[in-house]
Amino acid sequence: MNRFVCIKLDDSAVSVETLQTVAARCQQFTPLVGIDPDVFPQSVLLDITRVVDLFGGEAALFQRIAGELRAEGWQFRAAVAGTPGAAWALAGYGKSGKWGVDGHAAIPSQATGLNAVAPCSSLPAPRSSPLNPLPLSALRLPEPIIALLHSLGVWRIEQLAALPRRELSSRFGPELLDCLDRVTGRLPEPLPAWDPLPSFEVHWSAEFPTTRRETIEAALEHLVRRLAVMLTRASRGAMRLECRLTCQGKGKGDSPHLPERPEGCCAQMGTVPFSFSLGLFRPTAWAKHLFDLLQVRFESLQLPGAVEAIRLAATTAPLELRQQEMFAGKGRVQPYHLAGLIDRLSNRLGQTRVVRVRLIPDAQPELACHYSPLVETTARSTGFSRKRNGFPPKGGTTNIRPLRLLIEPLRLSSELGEQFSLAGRQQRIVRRIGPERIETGWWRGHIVARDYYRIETATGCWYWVFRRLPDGPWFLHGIFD
Amino acid sequence: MGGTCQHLQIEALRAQLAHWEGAAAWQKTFADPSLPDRTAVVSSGCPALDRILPENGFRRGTLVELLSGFPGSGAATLAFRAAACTCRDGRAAVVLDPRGEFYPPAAIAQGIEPARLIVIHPDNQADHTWALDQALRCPAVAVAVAWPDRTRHAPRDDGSRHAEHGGYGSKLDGRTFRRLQLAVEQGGGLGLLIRPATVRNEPSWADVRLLVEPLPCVQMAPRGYPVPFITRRMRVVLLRCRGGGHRVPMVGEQAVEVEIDDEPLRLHQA
Repeated sequence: MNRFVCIKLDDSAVSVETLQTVAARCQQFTPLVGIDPDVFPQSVLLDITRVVDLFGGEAALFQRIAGELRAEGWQFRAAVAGTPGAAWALAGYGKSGKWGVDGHAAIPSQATGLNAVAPCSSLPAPRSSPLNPLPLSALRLPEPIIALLHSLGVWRIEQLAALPRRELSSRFGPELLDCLDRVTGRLPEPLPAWDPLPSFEVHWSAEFPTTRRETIEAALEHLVRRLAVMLTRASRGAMRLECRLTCQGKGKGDSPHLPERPEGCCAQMGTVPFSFSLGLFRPTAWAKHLFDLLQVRFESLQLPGAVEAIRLAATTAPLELRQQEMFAGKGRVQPYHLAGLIDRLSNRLGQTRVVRVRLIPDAQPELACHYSPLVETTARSTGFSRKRNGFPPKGGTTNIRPLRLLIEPLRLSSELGEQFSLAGRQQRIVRRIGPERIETGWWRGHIVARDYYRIETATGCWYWVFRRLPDGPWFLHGIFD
Repeated sequence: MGGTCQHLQIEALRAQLAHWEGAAAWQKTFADPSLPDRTAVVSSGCPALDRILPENGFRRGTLVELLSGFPGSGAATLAFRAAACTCRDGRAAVVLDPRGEFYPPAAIAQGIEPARLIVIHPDNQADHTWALDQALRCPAVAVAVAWPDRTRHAPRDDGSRHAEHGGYGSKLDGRTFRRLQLAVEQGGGLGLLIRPATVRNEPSWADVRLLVEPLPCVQMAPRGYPVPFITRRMRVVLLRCRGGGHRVPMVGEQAVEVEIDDEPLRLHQA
């Protein structure tokens, strides 16, 4: 049996944003929450069909929904019924008290049993139906039809239901029956499911533009807290934070004081958008961590002028469930320890400077490994990849390689004899091991042909040198440090 | 007779010093018993080297200095050998590479899992110190390897190796050193600092200071091997160790020669 809760806010001019706020609040009870201001004005609908048992029965769940919303200060009427339409009708036009005016009246569970489930159930609705005494406007009929029915003396749903169906259709058009059947469940009516991914964005505007860093940081902290609450409620974590500051016009020079504006320029023209973003290694909804990262970035910023407004938006990913270990010491290594470190490093040093290593089966030594940022601003991947990327190393790298590879091979001489000079010192070669011939890169348009030798000096130090083939000069490429 | 007396006296003093330092370390370690394995001693990856170390290995939560006489002496090889042993518990290994000359395939060949390897290219000295401090302070990092005296700018913004020489470089000063030591104590990892031999007379906050000197190779042709192979030899001198364990090494035991086979890399006593 399908069950729907309708929460109809008392404010007749309620905005979609407000409805979304209520809907987001209701998503803790059921994943199916609907908003459609055109079809169901002022209302948020909840499909509680499969979650009733989780909350100990319909009445208990309804009480809880109503109680939580009331605690937040919402003024509304609510009802539960077998179709969205019936729930909306009861919430809007049901009897006060019995049907939960302001949401604090209990609903007798049997009274909610509007038998509007089976599409084949025959009309008229049973006499016990709570829909019967409701006015016709509860059916969401077009105004002309309501006026026509009123002129015929039909004022309530039970009167309409008592009329023969065939006549209704031929006299008033198919729309009337459709409306009636949707409410009674004879025709299915989909729940206008609300996109459960709201934009995680918070906004703050200053009463007076300010350059005081403490004030701006306090505002940022406040914004981050609000954002974290939104994220936590949606069970999502921020992967990327974008902070956009609206600053007053460009200050001349580096002075952080209020900048002068060009004459004849209005305040709006003088604003400069200024934004920065930070990426995270793992999605997080932890306000302190987010604020710490923001603060580090903010400290290094040179603001172009006094800040008028701040907008903070998060790109999110599902929050990884973290099992609470009851007996674990607080210092035990947790995944967020590493994520926190990587976030801090990436945000201060720059994302390209904190990297992971990927081995590439390329014969050319300097191309055999590739660095990629651990924190990607675009990629969806989070954390370390599970697959063991190239470990143990396959092919190619079984040959011994130096720990230190010069970025640019250092040219030694055209011929490598018994000695070579390095850093102003003569090194005597006592042994050379090789060659390891590497010929590759023709498909890159740059053929690399080298004979690598491992050479040992009289002091016992090892170097990696190569000769450019066929008869080129010698280069020092690596040091076995 | 007098020599023995003196010897015994020195031994007694040494034991007392070890007791004090050890007790202090003990207290610090157990003041916050949250990290279960911070007291664990981890092998240096070389049994011969372990034997001269006071606790048969490096203790987690401490700094270890490896002084390298010449470039190419093999100090970094030893360091990454120890790093591979340390990060076997699945925690991360962090390498600070300000110059961009670190070549990960060689470290991976030493046994470090690439998925656990984080390479940091700091831009300047302040960032370098800060990043090293952060890495050491993090309980999820098993080992951090750094060249604190060899710092120069070489970024690779597109993931490839590009030369770009900016410049910074200075010696690790005492305050920074102390800060790093406190950080590693808190984090419970191992900090491996590869430094030039010129700093050997400078004060240290590291628990162990080793000097790595290269030795001329010997060509070996043991029975059963079709071709002779080259072993790399180096002499490791224990310059300083703090804390002391059950066995404070005798003067004569303070140096050991280690050998690295050509391949696979194995270390053993010469």
